[in-house]
Amino acid sequence: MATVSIRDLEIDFGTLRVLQTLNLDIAEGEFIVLLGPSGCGKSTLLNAVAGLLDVTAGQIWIGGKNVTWEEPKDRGIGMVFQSYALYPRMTVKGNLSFGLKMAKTPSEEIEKRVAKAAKILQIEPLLNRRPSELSGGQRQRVAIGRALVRDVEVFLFDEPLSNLDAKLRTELRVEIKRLHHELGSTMIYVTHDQIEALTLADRIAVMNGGVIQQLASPKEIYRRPVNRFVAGFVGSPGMNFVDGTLSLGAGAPGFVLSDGTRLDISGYEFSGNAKDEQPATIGIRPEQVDLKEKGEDATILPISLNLVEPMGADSLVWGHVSGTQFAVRIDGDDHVTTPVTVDAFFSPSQASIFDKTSGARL
Amino acid sequence: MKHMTKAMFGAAAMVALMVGSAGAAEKAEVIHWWTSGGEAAAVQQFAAAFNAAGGEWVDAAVAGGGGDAARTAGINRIVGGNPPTAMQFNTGKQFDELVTQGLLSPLDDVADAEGWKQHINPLVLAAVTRDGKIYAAPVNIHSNIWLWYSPAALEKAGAKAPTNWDEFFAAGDKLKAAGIVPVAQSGDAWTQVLTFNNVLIGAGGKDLYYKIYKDLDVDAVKSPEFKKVADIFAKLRDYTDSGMQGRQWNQATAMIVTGQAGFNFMGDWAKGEVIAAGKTPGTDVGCIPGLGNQEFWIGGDVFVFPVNKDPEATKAQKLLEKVLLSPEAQVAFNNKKGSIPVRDDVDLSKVDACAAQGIALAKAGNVVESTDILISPDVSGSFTDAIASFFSDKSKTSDDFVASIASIVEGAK
Amino acid sequence: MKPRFFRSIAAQIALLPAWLIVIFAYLGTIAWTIRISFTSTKVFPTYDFVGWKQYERLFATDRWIISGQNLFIFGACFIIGCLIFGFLLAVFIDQKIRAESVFRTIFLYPYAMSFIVTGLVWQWTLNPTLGVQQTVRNWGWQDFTFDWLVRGDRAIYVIAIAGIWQASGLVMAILLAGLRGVDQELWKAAKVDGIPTWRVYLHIIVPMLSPMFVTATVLLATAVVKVYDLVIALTGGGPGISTEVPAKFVIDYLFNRQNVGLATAASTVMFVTVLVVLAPWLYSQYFRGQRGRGA
Repeated sequence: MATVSIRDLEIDFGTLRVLQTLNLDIAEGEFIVLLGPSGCGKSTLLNAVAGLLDVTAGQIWIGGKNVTWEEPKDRGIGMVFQSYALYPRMTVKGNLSFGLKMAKTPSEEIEKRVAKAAKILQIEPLLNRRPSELSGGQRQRVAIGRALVRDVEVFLFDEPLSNLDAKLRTELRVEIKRLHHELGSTMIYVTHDQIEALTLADRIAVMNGGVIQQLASPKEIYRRPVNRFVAGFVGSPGMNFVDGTLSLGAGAPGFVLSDGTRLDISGYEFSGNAKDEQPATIGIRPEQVDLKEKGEDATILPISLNLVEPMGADSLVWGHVSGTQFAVRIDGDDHVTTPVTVDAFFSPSQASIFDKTSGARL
Repeated sequence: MKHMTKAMFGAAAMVALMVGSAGAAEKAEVIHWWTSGGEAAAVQQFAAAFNAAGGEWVDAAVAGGGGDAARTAGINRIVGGNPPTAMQFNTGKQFDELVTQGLLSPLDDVADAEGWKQHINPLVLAAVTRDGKIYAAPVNIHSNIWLWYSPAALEKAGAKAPTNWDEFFAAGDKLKAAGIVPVAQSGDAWTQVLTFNNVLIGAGGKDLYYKIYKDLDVDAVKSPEFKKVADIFAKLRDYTDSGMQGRQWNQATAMIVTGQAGFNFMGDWAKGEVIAAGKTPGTDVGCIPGLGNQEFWIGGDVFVFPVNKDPEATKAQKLLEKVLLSPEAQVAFNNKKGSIPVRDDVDLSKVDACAAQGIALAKAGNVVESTDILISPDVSGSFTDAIASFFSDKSKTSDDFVASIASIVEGAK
Repeated sequence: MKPRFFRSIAAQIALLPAWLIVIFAYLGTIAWTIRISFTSTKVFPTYDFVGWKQYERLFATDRWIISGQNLFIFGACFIIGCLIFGFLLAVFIDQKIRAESVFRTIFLYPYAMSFIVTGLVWQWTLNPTLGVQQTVRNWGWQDFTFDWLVRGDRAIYVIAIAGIWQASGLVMAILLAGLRGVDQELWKAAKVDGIPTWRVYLHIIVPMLSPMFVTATVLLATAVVKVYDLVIALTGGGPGISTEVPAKFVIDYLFNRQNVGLATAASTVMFVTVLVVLAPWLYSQYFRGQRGRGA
């Protein structure tokens, strides 16, 4: 098992800076997910760790060793790709063993490792097939197996499930999680799918514009996003954002919406740099709003509802707050007649408030 | 439906052709292979004479392979139903099958009117006559059996013009020693055949020549006389240079004109190159009509006139036939070409020294007919393969050569 | 919806011209050629029957035997040479070099030339008294000898070299298209696996490109059987008859030597040879196709 440490990493493609002075420390056996929209630099970062790209500045350390200028094969990493990247004219067994043969591993050792990987991934019956004779899920297992046989300490996954259909994706996601438990290896996983990120990760690094926006546990990311980008990117359906102004003068702290409604936000923990009359955005997740009961420390939110979207286990109710679109998640059994204007409730301590211009959490 | 369309297109094309040719009267498209400098100058004489007589000469020269390419193109067009007005052949059997198939027009009307039968050399006339009818217009008498030499090169090497083969090789050794190529030879197969026939007649004699080509006598091939011919031919290989392959005949001739080489076996058309270079045959370049055994070889070129449905084209053919054998055109053409006229009623006083030698030999009855007259193109092709293959491969012995010629003669019977 | 039967009739009618062309233009001419090869035809068809006489003469003819050997030597050298050089050129261009399009054009340029031009260029280049040999000698190496063109036992290789020079660009273009289709992640995977680049090409890319190699080989093979103008321009069949090829044999006897019977016998032998060579391949294709559908 090995730690991975990225120090002041910068990568330029020509004149374009793709990664900006990036630092990331990954503990032994940790499962890190790099999450972000396409073009955010997450794959670039992963390729840099793998040694498939030259870095412009900074260092990469794996297992306490500076590997910045090492060949990929000498970094102790295994990598799994979105397109599987299997060697098409070789059997599954050939795919698993080719790299080892090139490294002049003794043949008994190769046999042993292939058998072990095949067992772990349950691909033993497929060993003599060609990639073209396998399903997408089977192919990705073989691709994982190819990393597995190399006995590496760090696994790199580059959007490994993106080419699979929804059902297989769920299955393999569980498989990868199980594998992580079984092997205890350090894993770095790139995805744009927040569900994968939230379910798999010990910590998520949300990236945008070549910068890590927030590095935290899935729960922290979800509950206390550090900025509006993270808040909006994580969660489905996304967080509701309503613009307004802070009112921190006399009495309880309030958030004044553009139509004049004043929300009582006592209970919200400001990080200290909030000012009175500051234009701000309040973010409330759909499931943080309750249409029925006013919980402890909850505050009133007037909302006009006009559409119900039943989704089985729960339903989404769409409406407006102060003229801004707003979604509320309710239990699937509950019933709402639309259109209707009601007073809903939310707990300010769960909400997030961001500076309107910078987007930073207040 | 498809066939009907095709037929209609065909009819339309035919109408267009007829209209087209009717518009341009006396137009004659002539396929020939006279493309080197001297040859082109000679053929211009015909074109000028024809144009002066009211025709329009359309030149369709096809270069390559000693006429192979031109004959192939012409026969293709005749067989394909789109014959040229006239096309060139060598005097001989090359156009036999065209005659048997009735694809060539007889020329007897023009021949009678122009007195061909009285004035053309009888051997030549026989070569263009089939079943009593004349099927081709002979335009010249060519003699292939000439050894040309550069007096300047010989002098430089301290050698003199040879009178027999031993002297020839002695001179060759001196030329070699002086850094001069002894024998300028082309890589083309037909020129090597020509060299062989030179040796065969010069060293073997007229009788051996006829036994082999006319009688197809295998015993003659296996005779000591032929072995001697084979040995000389084999030895000649050592007197050529490595630039032989890829060299054209006129480039080879040019080598003796400029003194880069000593000897060149070539037909009398080599004179055309000599004249074109501003030199005089007989003095600047020496000529020997058969080394050791002097004979005048009768070959040459003829024009045939394919049967034609278009009366205008037929008219052009008649005019062309007349012009080609007119005494003036004969002299003008042959002087440039290096050959001698087929007619005896023309002014021969202007012929060069070499041609004069040839005419003298012919008058004395020292003549042989060309191989084209004696053997079919098929058999001739087999000889060509065997000769060229032997001449360019020094690992083959003269015995190998005798064996291969014997098998060809056997097979040709 | 019309009944299936009528739709199929319509399709058959639409195909009729194609069928007529196949039957008359292709099969008809083949049958006629074979028929003529059993006659004594010289220039114009005579429909007598002389049995195997033309074939006996054909195989007793040195030139035909040499032509066959040359076709084999030329074919093997040409196809293998083109595939190797074409692949190397394609790999070279695939390295994302600068001025790629310039190199691509240069490599493909010879293919745009006719065989005649190629032949003449190489004839001049390799002529011992004009080309490379003389040039090097003029530079001072008096003993330098490169006279393959005028050596009967080597000239056929010169023809193969000229052919390779001309056709490698085509193979390059075909293979480059294949190389460009290779998933970039495959390269990354191989790099992570620590596989040397040349091994990736040899063990992974080449097998992937096998359909392209087959296409290129078929195209080259047809060029081999047809080879004629290159020989005409480069050596004219010489020195002697050492670089004769079957196509030239057929053309010579068809026209200039006026023995169509022998020429058609030679073309029939060529045709049968091609069939014999192709049959196992066709069979395997068909057989594999059947098995593929079954799976």
